[in-house]
Amino acid sequence: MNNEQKRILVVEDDQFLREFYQELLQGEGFIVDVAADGDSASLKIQQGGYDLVLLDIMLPKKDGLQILRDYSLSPPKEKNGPIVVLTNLGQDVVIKQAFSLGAAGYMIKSALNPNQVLAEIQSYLKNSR
Amino acid sequence: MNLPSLSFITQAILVLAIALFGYILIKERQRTRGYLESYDRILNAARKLYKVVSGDTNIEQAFVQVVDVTNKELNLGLCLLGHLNNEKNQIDKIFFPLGGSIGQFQSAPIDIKESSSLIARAIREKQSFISFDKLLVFGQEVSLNLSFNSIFVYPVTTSEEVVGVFILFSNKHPNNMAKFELEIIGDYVDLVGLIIGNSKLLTSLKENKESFASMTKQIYTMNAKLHQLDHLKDDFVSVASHELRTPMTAIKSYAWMALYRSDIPLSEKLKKYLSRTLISTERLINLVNDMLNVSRIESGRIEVNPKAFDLVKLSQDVALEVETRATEREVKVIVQEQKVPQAFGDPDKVHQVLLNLVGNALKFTPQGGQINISFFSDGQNIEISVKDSGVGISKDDLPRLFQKFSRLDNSYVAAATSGGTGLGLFISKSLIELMKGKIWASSEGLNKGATFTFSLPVASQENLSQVESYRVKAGGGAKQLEPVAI
Repeated sequence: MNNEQKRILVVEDDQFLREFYQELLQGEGFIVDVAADGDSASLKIQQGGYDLVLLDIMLPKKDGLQILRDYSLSPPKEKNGPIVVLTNLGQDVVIKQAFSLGAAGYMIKSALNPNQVLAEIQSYLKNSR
Repeated sequence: MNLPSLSFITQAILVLAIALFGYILIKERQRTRGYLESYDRILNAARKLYKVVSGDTNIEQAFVQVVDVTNKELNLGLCLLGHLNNEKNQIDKIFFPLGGSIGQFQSAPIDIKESSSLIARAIREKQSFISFDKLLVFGQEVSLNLSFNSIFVYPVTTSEEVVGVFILFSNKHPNNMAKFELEIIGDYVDLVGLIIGNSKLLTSLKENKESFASMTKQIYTMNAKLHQLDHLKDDFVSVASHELRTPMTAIKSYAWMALYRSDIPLSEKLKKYLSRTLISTERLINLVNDMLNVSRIESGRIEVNPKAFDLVKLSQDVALEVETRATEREVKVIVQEQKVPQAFGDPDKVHQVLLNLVGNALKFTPQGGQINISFFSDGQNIEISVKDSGVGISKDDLPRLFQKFSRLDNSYVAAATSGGTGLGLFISKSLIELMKGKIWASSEGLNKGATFTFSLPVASQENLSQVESYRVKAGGGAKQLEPVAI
C-alpha cells in the first residue's frame, strides 16, 4: 500500500518511545508529526487532517481520555482518521472508556514488536478507507 | 405456804434443784444469746464486706476493706490480714489498723516454702494454729505493742487457692472460750475467703471484658490497615509495572531497530548480541506481566464469571493463535474433533490456561514434533489434555511443576532460549482451581513427551442453575489478567 502522503500524529510523552515511533513510521514513508504532552496534542488534533492518530493515555498537562472527550464534543472541520490508543496498561476500564469516547482501537506498547505495530497501523489505515 | 408431808431437807433440795435448773437455763440462754449475737455480728460484718468489696476493688483494696470492717464490726480482738504473693510464694504485705485507717505492718516478706513460722505453715498445710508467741507466729521480730492472750492464725482460701493469712490477737485464752467462739473465727475466715474470691473473679471478669474490647478494637484497626496495604500493594504493583514497561518497551524497540533496520551491515556476532538483548527484554516483559497476574490472583482481584462454552472451539482458536510460532518451529498442533458436552467456566481464564499449556508444549518440543489436544468427559466433568512429543519430565520434577519459579533441572537448556517465567503453571493452576477444576501433569520420563490435563465441570443444568456458587467476585475492585506469553 502506498504510504506516501499519509499523515500520522504520534502522541507519546516518553522521548525515546516517541522518537522510536517517529523513526519507524518515517522509515515506512509516512509523514509523521509528534506531540509530547496533552496540550500540544490537543492543538494538533484540532488542526485536523491526520489519517491516523496514535494517542498515549498517560500524558502530562491533559490526559488522553480528556483529549478524546474534547475531540468527540467539538471535532474540527478537517477531521482525523481513526484514533488508536497507546497504552502499557491492559486495564479493561480505561480501554472501555476510550472506546466509549470514540477511540477506534488500542495497542499495548510492550506487547508488540515493531513489525506488529506496523501491521496494526496498516490495518487501521486500510479499514478507514 | 405450807408444803405438808415433805420434810425440810427435801424442800431444801427441791429449791436448790429449781435454783440450779434456773441457773443452768439462764446460763444456757446467755450462752445461746452470746452464740446468736456473735453470729449476728459476723453476718453483719460479712454483709458489709460484701457491699464494699465489689468488682471495682483490686485485691489490695479488698484486703484493706476486710481488715477495716473486721476490726470495726467484730469484737474478736486485733485482726491482721497478710497478702500472699503467688508468684514469689511469700507473704509480702500485712494489713492492720493504724490510727483510724489501715496501714501496712512492718515486716520482711515471709517465704512460704522456707519459713518455719506459723504463718507459713498455715498456708503450706492449709491448717489453722493457736499460739502465744509472736516470734513463732511471724518467724521474725515484729514491733507490736499489744497485750494479748492468744494468737490465732488461719489460712484464707477462696474456692480455688490460698490468698492470704488471717491473724487474730485475742484477749481470751482458748481455754476460756466456748466451742462456738472458736468455731466462729473459722467460719468468719471462710466468709472472708469467699468474698475475696468473689472480688477476684469480678476483677478478672472486668479485666477480660476490657482486654477483649481492646483486642477487638486492635483487630479492627489491623484489619483496616491490612486492607489499605493490600490495596496499596496492588496499586503499587500496577503502577510499578506500568513504569517498568516504558523503558522496557524502549529497549525492545531500539534493539529491534538495530537488528532489523540497521543502516550499516551487521556482523554475525552483533546480530547474535542484539538478538539476545531482544529475547531477554521479551522475558523481562513477560515476567512483569506474570508477576502482576500472580499478585492479582493472590490478592483476590481476579473475577471468575462462569458460563457454558465450547472447549473444542476454544482450543481451535488457541491453535490458530500459535500457528505462526508452531510453523516456525516445525511443530504440528492438532485439535481432536470430538463430540463433548460444553464446559462450565470462565472462557477468558480458560483461554489463558490453554495458551500457557500449548505455549509450554511448543517450547519443549523439538522440530518435527507434534502437539495433540484431546478431550474426555464422564458426564460430570470434561477433561482436556495437551500432549506433546517433547523433552518430557522426570519423576522427581513432576510434583514441583506447579510451584512458583520451579525450574526443572532438565529444562535449563530449553529455558534459556525459550524464556519461560517460572510462573505460568502456577498461574494456570490458580485459575483452574478458582473455577473449581483440577490440573495435573504426567510423563513417561525424559524425552518421552509430557501430557498436561485439566478438568472443568460440565455445563449441566444443575451447574448452570448454581452459577452463583461458581462465580468468584474480586474483593476490592477487579483487575484483568495481563496477556500470557507464548
